[in-house]
Amino acid sequence: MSLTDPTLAAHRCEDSLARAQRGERAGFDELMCEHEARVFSIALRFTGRRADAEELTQDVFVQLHGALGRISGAGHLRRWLLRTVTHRCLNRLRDQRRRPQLVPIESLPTTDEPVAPESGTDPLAGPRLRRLLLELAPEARVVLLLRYQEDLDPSDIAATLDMSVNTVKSHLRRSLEWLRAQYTGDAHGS
Amino acid sequence: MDLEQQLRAALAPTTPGPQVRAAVKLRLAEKSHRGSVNRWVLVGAVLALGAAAAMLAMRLLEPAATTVIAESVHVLDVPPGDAPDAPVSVDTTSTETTSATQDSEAPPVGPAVQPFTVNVPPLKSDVDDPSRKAALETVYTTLVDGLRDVPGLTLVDATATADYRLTLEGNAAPASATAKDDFWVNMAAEQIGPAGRVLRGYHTGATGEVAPACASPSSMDTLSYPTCADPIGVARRLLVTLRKSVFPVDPQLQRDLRARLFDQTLEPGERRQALADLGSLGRGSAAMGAFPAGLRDPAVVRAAIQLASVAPDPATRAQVWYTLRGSGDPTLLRPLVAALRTDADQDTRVQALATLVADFATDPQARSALETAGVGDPDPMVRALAQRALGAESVWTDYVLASLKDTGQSPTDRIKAFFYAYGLPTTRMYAVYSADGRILRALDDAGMRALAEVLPRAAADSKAYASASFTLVSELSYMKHPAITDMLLDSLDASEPWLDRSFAVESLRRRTDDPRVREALAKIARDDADPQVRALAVKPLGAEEKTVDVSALPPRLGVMTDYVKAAPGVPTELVGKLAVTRMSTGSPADHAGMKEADILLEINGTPITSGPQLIEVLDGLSKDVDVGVLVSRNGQTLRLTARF
Repeated sequence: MSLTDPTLAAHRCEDSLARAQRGERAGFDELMCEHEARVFSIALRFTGRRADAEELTQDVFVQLHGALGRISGAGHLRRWLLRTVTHRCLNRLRDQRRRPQLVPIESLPTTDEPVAPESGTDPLAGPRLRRLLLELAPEARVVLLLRYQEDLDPSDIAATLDMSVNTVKSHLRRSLEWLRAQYTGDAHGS
Repeated sequence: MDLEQQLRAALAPTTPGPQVRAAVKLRLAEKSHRGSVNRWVLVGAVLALGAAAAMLAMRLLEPAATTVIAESVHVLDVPPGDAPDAPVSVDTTSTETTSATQDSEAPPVGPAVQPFTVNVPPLKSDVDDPSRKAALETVYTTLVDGLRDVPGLTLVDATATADYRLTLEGNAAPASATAKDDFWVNMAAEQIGPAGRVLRGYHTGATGEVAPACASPSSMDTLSYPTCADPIGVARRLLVTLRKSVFPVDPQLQRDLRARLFDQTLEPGERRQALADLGSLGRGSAAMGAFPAGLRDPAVVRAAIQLASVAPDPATRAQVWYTLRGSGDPTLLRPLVAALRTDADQDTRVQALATLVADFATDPQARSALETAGVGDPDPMVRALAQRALGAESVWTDYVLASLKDTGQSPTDRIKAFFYAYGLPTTRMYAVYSADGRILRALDDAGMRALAEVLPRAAADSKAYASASFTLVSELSYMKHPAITDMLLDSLDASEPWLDRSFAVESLRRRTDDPRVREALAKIARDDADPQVRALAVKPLGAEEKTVDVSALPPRLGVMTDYVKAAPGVPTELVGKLAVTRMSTGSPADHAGMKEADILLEINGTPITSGPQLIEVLDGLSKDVDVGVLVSRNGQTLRLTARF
C-alpha cells in the first residue's frame, strides 16, 4: 500500500481535515478518531508501555492542531502523523538515554525484560512477537512497525524516517532474520 | 502462517482509551490560553540519599530497618503482614484462570475516602536566577493546586494540626551549566503523629527544565507519571508519587488499578505495573510491615496468580510472588510450591521460595518443597536459600561470601547473592530497597576487599547492577575501611567512569587521614577540569559528615516497632507502647525469644515509652552482658534475656 492510495477513509478524512482547518472542533475530533489508533499503536509497540504511548499520542495530536494549516490533504496528513510519531518515539528514547534514570523503585519499567522461552501456539504469537519487537534496535523497530502495521513500502518508510531505502531494506532483512530465529526458538522451547 | 503474516496480525492497530482524546482537548484549550506548546521530557524522581550515613548506621544496627518508627493500628494477636482489616475468607478452590475475569465484573470494592489534612509550608529556596525561580514557584503552586483535587485531602495552614507536612526545597543549577536539567525539587512528606511528632518521612525529588521542548497537559492521569520535565510535569510527578505511595489509599485509584490488573486483554507488563502500583498504594501511611492495603483482597490475589500463570516474562512471574509476600492467602500455597519446583527461571524460584518462607514456613507442603529445593535445585543460590529457610543460616552466609570471593565467576554472578542478601533490587528491578545490615556485618576483611573490588566491575557490566551498586556505594562511602578508600580512589582514574566524580570526591573528603587521599584531593583541587569538582575537593567537612566505625556500633535488638493504638480489645495501659512489627532472624531479639507483636514494656527495668527513648536506653547498654527485657504477649507478661 502506498501513502497516497485513495480510499474511502481518505475521502472522509479530507472532509474532516477541511472542517478541522476551518476551526471546527468536531472536525478535529473526527480526525483524531480516524487516526488515533494508528498513532497510538506505533507508540505502544515502540515503547511497550500504555502510559507512555498515551502521552506520545497526546503530544502528536496537540502538535497536529498547530500544524493543520500546513497539511495539504489526507495522504499528507497520514505521512505527517507517521513521521511525527516515529520521530517523537526515537527522540524520546534518546532523551531518556542522555539522562540518569533514578526513579522510585516501585515504578520502574516493567517491559524491558527478556522473553522467557516457552511452549505455546498461535494465541500467544502476538504478545510474543510484540515483546521480541521491543528488543530490536529503535530504528529497526520503527521500520518494522511502519512496514507491518502501516503496510508502507520501503521507499515510503525511507521518506518518513529520513533514511536511505537501502538502510530500510537492510533493517527489514536483518530484523526479520533475527525475529524468525528468536520466534522459532521460542516456539520450540529452546 | 508465515512470520510476516503473523507480524501483521500482531501489529493490528489498537485504539487508546477515550481519555487520550479528552486530554488532547484539554491541552488544546489550555494552549489557547498559554501560547506555544513546548516539547517535554520526563525525569525520574530521585531517591534522597542525603541521610546515607544515618541510614547506613541504622542498617548496620537494625537489620532490615529502613525508616523511623511509625504509628500503627493495634497489633495485638495479629501476625505481621495480616492487618486486622485484611480479608480472611479465601476460596482455596478458585485459582483457575477464569476467576480473575469474574472478579473484574464484581462491584468495585474498597474503603471509603479517608479524610486527611496536609500542610504545605512555603517553598524553601534561595535561587536568584529569575527563570529558575519562576519555574520552582510554578512547581510549588501546581503541586498545591493539584493537592486540592485529591479525594479526602484538606489543606490546612501551619497553625492547625495536619496529618502530613510536605516540605519542598527548590534548587537550581547555575545558569551557565551545560546540563539539561535546570532545577530540582526535593520533597519531604512527613506523617505527623500526636504532639507534632514525625512518625515517618518519605523523601523524593524530581529534576526539571526551565525551557523544555514540550508542555504538560492540564489534565492528569493519576495512574501514570507525566513524561515532561517542565515545571508542571515536575509538580505532577511529585503528586502522582504522593497519591500512589504516601497518602492514604484513594479508593478510585484503587478501583482503576484493580480494573487494569483484572483485564486479561492487557499486556502482562501493564497488568504487572498495576499490581506493583496496588502494592504501593497507601504504603506511606500504613503500619510498617503491614501487607499493602491495595492487595488485601482475595480477588486481587487470584488475579495476580492468574497473571503469573500466563506471563511469558519471568520478571512478571517473579514480581507476582514477590508482591504477594505477606498476604498469607492460602490459595498461594500450591502455585508457590509449583513455581519453586518447576519454574525454569532462577529468580522466579527465589521469589517463590522467599514468599513460601515468609507466609507458609510451618506448612508441611512448603517445608517439603524447601527440603527438595535445598538439595535438588539446579542453582546453588536457591539451594543455599532453601537450606537457610530450614534453619541453616550459616550455609547462606557462607554462600554469599564465597560467591563474592570467587574470582572464577563473572562480576555480576559474584555480587548477585550479596545484593540479594542486602536487599537491593538488581536485574529485575522490582522489590523495595530494604537493606539488611547483617550481611555487611558478616563481611570479614577479605570479604570487604572482594566487595570493593567486584562492585565497580559489576556496575560496569550491567546497567541494572550499576543502579544497585550506586545505592550501595552511597552507604559504603561512609564506612571506614581501606578497601573502600581504594575503590573510591580508583574510580577517579577509571577509564570507564562508573561513579560520579563529584560523589567520589565528596566521599574522599571524609577520608583525609589517608595521605593518598590528601594527595589525590590536592591534585583535583589544582588540576580538575570541572570548577565545581575543584571546589568540592577543598570544601571543609561538615560536622554531620563522618564515617561509621562498624566495630563501635552500639547494641540494638534487631526489631522494628510501631505504637499500639487504642482499639477494641486493647488494654488501655498498652496504648502508646511500642509493639514489635518486624524482627530479624538471628538478631539479639530473636535469640532472646521475642516474637513479632510482642509489646515492649521494659529493658533492664527502664520502662520503654517511645522509639527514640528505646534507642537511648539501648545506647546505654554494654555488649556481652545479659539484659532483661519485659514484654507483653497475648495479655501475659514475659521476662526475656537478651545479649548484644
